[in-house]
Amino acid sequence: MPRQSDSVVAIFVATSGHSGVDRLVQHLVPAISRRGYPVDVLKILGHGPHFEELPRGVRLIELETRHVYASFPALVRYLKRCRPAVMMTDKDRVNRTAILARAWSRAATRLVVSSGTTISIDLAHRGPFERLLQRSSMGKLYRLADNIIVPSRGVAEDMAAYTGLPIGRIEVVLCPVVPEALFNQPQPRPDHPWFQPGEPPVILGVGELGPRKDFTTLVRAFAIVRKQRPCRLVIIGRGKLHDELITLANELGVNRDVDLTGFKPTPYRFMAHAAVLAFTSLWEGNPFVLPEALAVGTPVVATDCPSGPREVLQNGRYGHLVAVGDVKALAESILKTLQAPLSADTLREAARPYAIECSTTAYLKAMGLDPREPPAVSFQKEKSNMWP
Amino acid sequence: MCGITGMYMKKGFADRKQLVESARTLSHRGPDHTDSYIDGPFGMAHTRLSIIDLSGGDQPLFARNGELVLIANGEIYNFIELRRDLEQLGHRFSTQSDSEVILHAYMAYGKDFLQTLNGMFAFALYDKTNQRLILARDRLGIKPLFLAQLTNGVAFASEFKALMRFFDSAPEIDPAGLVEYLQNQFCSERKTILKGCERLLPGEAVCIEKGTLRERWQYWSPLTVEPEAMDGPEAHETFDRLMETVMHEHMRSDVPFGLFLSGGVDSSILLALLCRFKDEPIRTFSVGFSGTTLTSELPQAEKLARHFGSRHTSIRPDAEAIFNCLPYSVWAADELMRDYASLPTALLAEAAGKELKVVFSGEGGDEVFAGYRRYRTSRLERWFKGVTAPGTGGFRTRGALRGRWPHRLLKPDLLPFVTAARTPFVNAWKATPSDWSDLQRMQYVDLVTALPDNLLVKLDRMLMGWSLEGRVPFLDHRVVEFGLGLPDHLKVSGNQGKSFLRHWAAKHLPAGHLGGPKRGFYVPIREWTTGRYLTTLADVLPRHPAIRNWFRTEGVKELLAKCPSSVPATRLVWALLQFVIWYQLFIVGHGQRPPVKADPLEVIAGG
Repeated sequence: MPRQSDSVVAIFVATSGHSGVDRLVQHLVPAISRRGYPVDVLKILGHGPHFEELPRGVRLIELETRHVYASFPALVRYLKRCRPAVMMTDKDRVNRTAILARAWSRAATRLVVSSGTTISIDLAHRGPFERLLQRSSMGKLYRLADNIIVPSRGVAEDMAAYTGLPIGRIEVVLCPVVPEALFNQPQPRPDHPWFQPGEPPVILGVGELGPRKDFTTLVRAFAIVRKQRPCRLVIIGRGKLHDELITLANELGVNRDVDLTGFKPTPYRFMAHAAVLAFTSLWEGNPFVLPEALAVGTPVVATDCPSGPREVLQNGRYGHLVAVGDVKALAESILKTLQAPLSADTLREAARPYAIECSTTAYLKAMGLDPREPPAVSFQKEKSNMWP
Repeated sequence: MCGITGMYMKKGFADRKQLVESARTLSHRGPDHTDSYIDGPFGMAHTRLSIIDLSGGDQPLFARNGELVLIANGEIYNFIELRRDLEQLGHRFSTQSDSEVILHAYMAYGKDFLQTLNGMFAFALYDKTNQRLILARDRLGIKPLFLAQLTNGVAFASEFKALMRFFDSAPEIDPAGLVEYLQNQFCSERKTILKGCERLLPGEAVCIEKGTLRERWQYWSPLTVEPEAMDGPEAHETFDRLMETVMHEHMRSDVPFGLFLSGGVDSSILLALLCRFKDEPIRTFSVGFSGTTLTSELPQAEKLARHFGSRHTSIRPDAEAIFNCLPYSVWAADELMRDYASLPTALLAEAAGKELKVVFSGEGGDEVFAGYRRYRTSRLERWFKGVTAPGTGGFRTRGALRGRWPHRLLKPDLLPFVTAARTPFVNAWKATPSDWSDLQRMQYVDLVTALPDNLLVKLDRMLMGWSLEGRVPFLDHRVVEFGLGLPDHLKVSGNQGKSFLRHWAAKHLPAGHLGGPKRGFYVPIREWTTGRYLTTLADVLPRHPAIRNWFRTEGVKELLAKCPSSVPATRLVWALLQFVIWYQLFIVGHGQRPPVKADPLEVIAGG
């Protein structure tokens, strides 16, 4: 049924179900709804985002196709029928389909397309056809959208340089990463033995054990740090490089102080009770773990990779930045941070712009909507696992 | 260790009389103190067996100026560490009770608070401000909790007998639950034998608002365990540290404790560790049956007790004493469950309960470290079984009702549920991650079915039947995660199960003690399904209303006729005998308590 209101916000994404975009949408959709805008989430079969519980005022609309391109007719029908005020889309294929569907439908819907990755690096790993397709669709088609939003200055500059889009057409909107409760509510101690009182400090890595996160650099740096002082390394995540990392820790003689815990559904508590979070990615678009660690008051050390860490850490003000793959510099920065960490309150300041409500205001402005006042006690409902 | 019960109405006021009656049925779980709490439509009651903070730990416990109210069954073993963390956050405690940390963890950590609690527990936490009731059960299902969604609200209780008091109609049998009991010895997942009564799953919590169940969630599952690539020495070192922490936490008690010593690997290890960490001699208990031809474990246990200098008692009941234990043990078990070992456990509990409030027991060692023979079947055998009964990799493929027996024995009302009885095993097998080995899958299936719904029912309910708390360090969730994640080759070597635990224990136990095969309790069931007993049973059983309602008389008679010579028939006759006793006590008697010693044949003749 078409909605009566002329201020419906449509969100169209096709995600894996457990990516950064999934979390972005899971945070953003309820927050927009809390500001009083009805939200339609358009879905492709077999893809995310998934909602444990659908927030009030949010509709899930299945486009009944398994492929983004095949959703074109359904999308045109939706736009013609429901005439949302704004439609926001993410990822190139979805953006492309949405731009064409909006044009075909002749709907007055404002279209806001977004992209979260450092596109030149991302496409360097793809085939020539995909490179050409994405580069030209971004460079040419995106001009037809009303706004183009990206999560960091680095991503914007890279996109402009790589695709020829004028930089002035691209707007930076920080992601809704941190639930309000994360700032306010203490995190329980994990029952991992290394996180108990009196144990040596833990250096923490969080992410998929794949090449992009470059945890081999972290293990090597840890081996240097370990020679200087008692400490331990815990990496949360699963992935193909698990055995390789274990072998490396064995070779370096630090296996007794390295633990790969596997996936943990609630990593916040590990972040909160770690001495430092080390971020070693080769490239990123949305480095969620950095604002999360800062929000729970844990210092971070990060590679100055494209794109994101430099902006999150405000050019090193809120945490050391080291060159990608520089083992020695990373070790030195970890040691310095262990010796003289910034205060938790200072670190929380750096995470503030990534608070869900703060980011939602920016998103609504970028959509051309009145951001309205955030509800006063919204944090209780912000994330379902945060009551009371 | 206690009993909890309560009711959250949609409208109206909670009935204090009903609450008191319900609590009275749980007096065996908590003989030391009973109290209740009522707030409009919500009411709950607690019966206490005091173990920690004997004078100040009576419940309900309160926090936030009386806005948060808690009743709990069990122990929070890490309460000292958790309390220290919470005090650093500014929380102030009003008792020394371990349970009080539940309230403060809830205030401090919100919905994540369950993950901070290490221990065995089932509790009800009422948040008056938000009109929210949270019910939660420990990760492995050591402590029981049932709930019923009724027309006028939601009721909960530690046992059926207390839950029934809130029913608006007479209790009834759930036919699916009955068939699952016959096939598998126990009911699994949420389903129970009692219609309308559901089990909270291990590691599960629910949120009830204004008399309606709003949310369920699993706060822990063994499924997140990842296989670990560690070698023997590393595993030994990790387990050394882990067991020291676990034993240290499990030994927290303000009353003396003992140990059930079978002489097998698990209880022997516990004896060695308890002696290592405690200065006084440990009180130990063993049971064996006189007059039986099979080897009893008594001499083995006695030898070990001498070695460690424990104050040991061996119990040698005769066949009649054991048989007369059956009605009370069926009542105490509450859930209908067929495990012969309930009887010796009940006898141990009776003996230990006369002088102690807490005993340790080795439950869980076989599931966690892969001790059972059923984990060591050949690939070929499992492949073959998997063809005949797909979905579980050839594990747990056969129920007790085989061949034509379902059609001969069951009335048409029960037949549709025969195939579905395997569903809990199939569901568990399917839920396992793709990078797990078949051994891990088998362990997992047992960890979420037979362990909570049979083994732990036996342990909790038999012990509580004699107001005794059982502590099971092998089921600390960290030990379970460690055991499940261990590489297969460390757990099973050649034809020997639990090899990691055996190797690890060698340094703690006298040489040669661990060489023998797993024996388990021998219970002389055959003696009661022959001769005089069988003649009386053949007369009474087919005429009993419970049997006539659900079973074909001719089939039951045929089964009884086969009894002396057929082990499967004996097993089924025993299952029917227990069912009839259970029916008599719970459906007819509404949870009526039988004498501690009663002739089972007389109890069923009463029907």
